[in-house]
Formats: sequence, structure tokens, C-alpha cells
Amino acid sequence: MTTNTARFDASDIALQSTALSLWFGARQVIDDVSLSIPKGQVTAIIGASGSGKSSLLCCFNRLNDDIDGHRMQGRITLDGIDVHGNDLPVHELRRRVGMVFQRPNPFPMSIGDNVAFGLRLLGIGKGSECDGRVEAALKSVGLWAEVGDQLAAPAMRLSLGQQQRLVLARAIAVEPEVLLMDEPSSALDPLSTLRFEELVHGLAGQITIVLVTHNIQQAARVSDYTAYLQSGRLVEFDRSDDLFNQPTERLTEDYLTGRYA
Amino acid sequence: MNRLSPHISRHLGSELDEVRQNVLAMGGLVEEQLVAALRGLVNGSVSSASEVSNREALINAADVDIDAQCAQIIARRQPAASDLRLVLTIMKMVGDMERIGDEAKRIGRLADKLVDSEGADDTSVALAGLGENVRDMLRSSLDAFARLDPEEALVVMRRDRAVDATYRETLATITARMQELPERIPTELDRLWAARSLERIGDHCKNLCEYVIYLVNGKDVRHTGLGKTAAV
Repeated sequence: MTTNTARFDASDIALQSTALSLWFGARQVIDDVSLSIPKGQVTAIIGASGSGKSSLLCCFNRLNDDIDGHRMQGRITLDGIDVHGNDLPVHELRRRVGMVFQRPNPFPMSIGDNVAFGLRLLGIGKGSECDGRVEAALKSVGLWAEVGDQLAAPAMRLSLGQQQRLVLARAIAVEPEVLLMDEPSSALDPLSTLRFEELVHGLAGQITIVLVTHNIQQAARVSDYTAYLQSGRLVEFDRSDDLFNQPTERLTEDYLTGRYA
Repeated sequence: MNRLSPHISRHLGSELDEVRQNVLAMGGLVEEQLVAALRGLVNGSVSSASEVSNREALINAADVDIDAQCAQIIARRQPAASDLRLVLTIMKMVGDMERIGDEAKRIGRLADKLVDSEGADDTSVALAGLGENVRDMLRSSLDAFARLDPEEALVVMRRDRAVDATYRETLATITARMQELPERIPTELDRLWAARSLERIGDHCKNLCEYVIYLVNGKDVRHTGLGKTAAV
């Protein structure tokens, strides 16, 4: 049983999976998932370990493609365009759909170069446009005031919380339409987590955010919509206001209230 | 939601069970307070002042304790879905139950004053009927909560209409008597206040039942009217 009551106009959908199934070798990790991610909103994907939430997230910008034995069925579209089609080369897809991982992964270079890294690939790695974008990205993650005068310092010297915000700045510097976040604050302390969640709030509206999290309270705090996955299947997708107060599916209720399923 | 599996965290499960049991125990005290007040009102048997005030203290303490337990559960467990609704429901229920206790105490006080007053059989009968009705409503409200039964809650909510109608009739009778026999106005006023308190208790029982429906069905039926409530 799936409850998927959220309905959007086609023009309000950023990403969409239709009857999506995914296998790694003989193991099926996603089972017939149809999900519409609304534009400019924060959508959380929750579920137990092994429920397929990270695999689903990676489908959205084709990060599973390089995994041996990977096989996919169904369709994924970005703004209505098939992400596997010829109209959307994978490097373009990944510029438009950025990713932030569980552990901060700054590159072993300076703070400034980290943020400018993606811009270089776009051919704007130098000059005033580059400087302006680096500054804007660092400002939008609240790092400019902290490290604006030390752009040449090594990124590895920052605290974990700062590193994760730096990675976020690197991701948003190339102005993506969608940001995929896989457990982005699980390595952070509670205060850095709250600061990170504030950023997510602030970015929503301009950027569509898809957030995979183990933390039910985090999903409840930051998301507009929530999808609950179990064993690779979509159990329920609804407005977070409704899902966390009155889930329709018994399986969702069991998961949210911490009961034996 | 009463068919849900046990919590993985046995601590949370036992904390929620405990606070539920405490609500039912508080409900028992409130019901005793009401029954004692009605005995005084209908049979003229005066209950001891210390018994009433002891019970009142227990009810007030339960109100405070249960609220504190709920705050602890919210702060430490961050309950969601039906667990969250249970905690929110209980916090609202204890407020209404505490007020039912206050009204019962008031009725008890009025009953003491009315013991030796000159008879007015028709209003006494009406008050007895009202009292019996609201006592049943209270018992059924607590029962609906204990069994998580929205059907029973709806039945109680319907009964509140009958209580309101009886209250209006009693009011008319008392007013007529006041006009007829002005010297009896002080006594009749006490009867009127008692009737008013009983009617209020009916209202509080209705509130309890609205919370039960929210708890079970997740729909807030306050201020929606019985027709819409029944459709939930």
C-alpha cells in the first residue's frame, strides 16, 4: 500500500521518478517508486537503514551509474527532461542537481579554491565574476564573516561544521536548481546541525532541496514534504505537517512512533 | 490506534502507559467528587467538608503531575504521530477534568446550603435528572478515552444536547418560581447555580470526547457541529 496524496502541477515539479526500480546485481534496492519533488521546497526522505533512501537520492543525479551491476527501470526527469536522455548530458545534470554528502569532503586546497572549483569547470574560475560568486556563496552559508579574510587558508583547517558549510557553498556557487543532501548533518554537533538546518530553510525557495535523513525530528523540523521508504518501496508521501501528526499508513505510524513493525 | 504494536523503546511505552493510567485515576477521583455532590443535591446527604477538600487537593495535584509528565515526554522523547496526539490530548483533558472537579465541589457546597430549604419537588427532580445524565456522560467520556472509542465519544457528545435542553427547562421553572414566590429567590438562586454547574460539566464532557476523536482519528472536531463530527 502506498499513500501518495501530494499533487502538483507539472510546472511545479523539479524532479520526478516514475515507476523507478533499481538493482545492484541480484539485489533490488528500489521497488517501483513514483515520486514528485516539488520545486523550491524541502523534501525529506526518511526510512530505516537499507530502505533505499540514499540509492534513490543518487538516482536523481545518476551517481549510481558507475556502480558495477547497477540496473535501473523506470524514468527520472528533471524539469520534465529525461535525465538519461541525450538532451541532458550527465555533467550538465550534475551542475543543475548538486550533492552534499554525509561527511564534509572539502578538497585539499584553499577555502577560496574549494568554492571556485565548480566555477572553474564552467570556465569562470578567475576574475571578478568568480570572486563575486565565491563571496556570495560563502555569505549565503554564513561563512564569509568567519573566513572571508582567509580565503587562501587550507580548507582542512576549518571545523567540521564549517567544512560542511564550505561544501554547501561549493555546491551552490554553480547555482544548481536542486541540491541533494545525504545525511548532511550526521557528522555535526547539535549547534552546527541547527545552523545547517537554518541554511536549508534559507536556501529553500531559491533551490529545491531533497534531504535524506535518519533523524525523524530533523525531517520534521526542516521539510515541507516527507517521503517514507521501507524496503525500497514508497510507503507514504505527504505534506510534513500531515505526515508527522497523522500518517495514513500503519507502517509510517510504526516507524515514526518507534514501534515494532 | 489501540491495535498498534509495542514501542521499541520500552521506556517510552511505559511512560505513555503510566500517564494514561494517571488520567484514568484522576477521572475516577473527579467522578467520586461529582457523585458525592449529587448525593448531597438529590438525597440531602451532606458529605464531609474535609472529604471534599481532600479529594479536591488530590485532583489538583494530579492535574499538575500529569502536565509535568507530558512536558517531560515531549522534552525527552519528542513523540510523533499517535504518541504526540496522545500527549496533546491528555494535556487538554486534564484541564477539563480539573474544572469538572471544581464544578462538583461548587455543587456540593450549594447542596449543603439547600439541605434544609423548603422543597421544590419539580426542580429537585429536574436537577436529579441532569445530575444523572452528566455523571453518565463523564463515565462514558473516560470509557471512550480508555478504549480509544470515537463512536462512544460521539454518543456522549449527542447527549450534551439533551442536557442543554433539560437545563433550559429547569431554568424556566426556577425563574417562574422566583416570580411567583419572591421570598424564595435566595434558595432558588442556589438551585439555579447548581443547574448551571451541571450543564457546564456536560460541556466539559463534550470537550473530553472531542479530544478522544482527535486522538483516534487525527481530526480536530472542535467547533464543527455534530453532523460534521459524525462524518469524521
